[in-house]
Amino acid sequence: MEEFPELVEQHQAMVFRTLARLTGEREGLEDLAQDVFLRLFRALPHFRGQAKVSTFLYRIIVNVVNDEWSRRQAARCMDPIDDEAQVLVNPGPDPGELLERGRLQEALDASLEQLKLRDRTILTLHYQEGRSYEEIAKILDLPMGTVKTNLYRARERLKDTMKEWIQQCKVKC
Amino acid sequence: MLSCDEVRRQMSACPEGSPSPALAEHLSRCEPCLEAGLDAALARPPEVRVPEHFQQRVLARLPAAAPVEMPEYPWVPVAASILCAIFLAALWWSGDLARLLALLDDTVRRPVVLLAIGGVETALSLLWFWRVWSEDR
Repeated sequence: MEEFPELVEQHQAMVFRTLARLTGEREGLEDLAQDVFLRLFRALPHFRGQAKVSTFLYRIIVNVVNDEWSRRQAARCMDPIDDEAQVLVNPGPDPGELLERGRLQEALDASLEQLKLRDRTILTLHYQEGRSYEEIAKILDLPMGTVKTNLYRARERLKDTMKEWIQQCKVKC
Repeated sequence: MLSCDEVRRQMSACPEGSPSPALAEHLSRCEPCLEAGLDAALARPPEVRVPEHFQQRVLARLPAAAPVEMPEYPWVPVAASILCAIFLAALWWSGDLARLLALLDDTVRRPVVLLAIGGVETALSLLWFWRVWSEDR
């Protein structure tokens, strides 16, 4: 347990940027990040080092986001005007509007947020975090074929956003 | 006319606004550059920073005592079982096993011995329950 503070120091940036990508939020991630590290702390005695700590952490992050998603959906059913509950369910602005303003990166981020959580996770782990198909399959407990297929489909959707951005110029120019 | 290198350089620098006519023209006919531009955009991490003193706040929330570590392998019961098996095999080999069983039978029937066995089992069960309960907390 002596090494736990170093683990927090070493992985905190990764935890924040992955949570940001998966939730689509940039602020107010601290509670979720704390939850991630508390779960890691509780699970560490059972962690025997068969996997890398980072792989283990990614799995915890995905579970925390899934739980938060369920919690907010439940809150939304209980109270349809709860602002916080709306965020994960209807995340971000419309990619089309962002493209109108020429904001490619933001439009891609918004398109990413409209994907299913599982597809978003696969894209994030592969492109942003540089994880291999095999590692993603382990983290999400999915067959490798499913990871590859979902990655391909999700990527194609984002490619459409990019093509729309290019088309804009042809219309405007 | 833009080269592929120039297009990829522009795309990796996160282009703002609508693409220039030359960039749009190149991207619409060059699939590898389109793919590379998408890769660059997806690899770009969101701008988010770790709040100050985050680590201290996490450490402050940790339970006071570290969780009880589980033994890597139940060596004690395994070793005890092996020793027991060796002991019984030796008795059987020497022919004393039947005599010993008869002696045990006589001993176990005594109420004091039965009460002692029951007491030890109850104490062990309570100890086990206490450990599980304190781990859950």
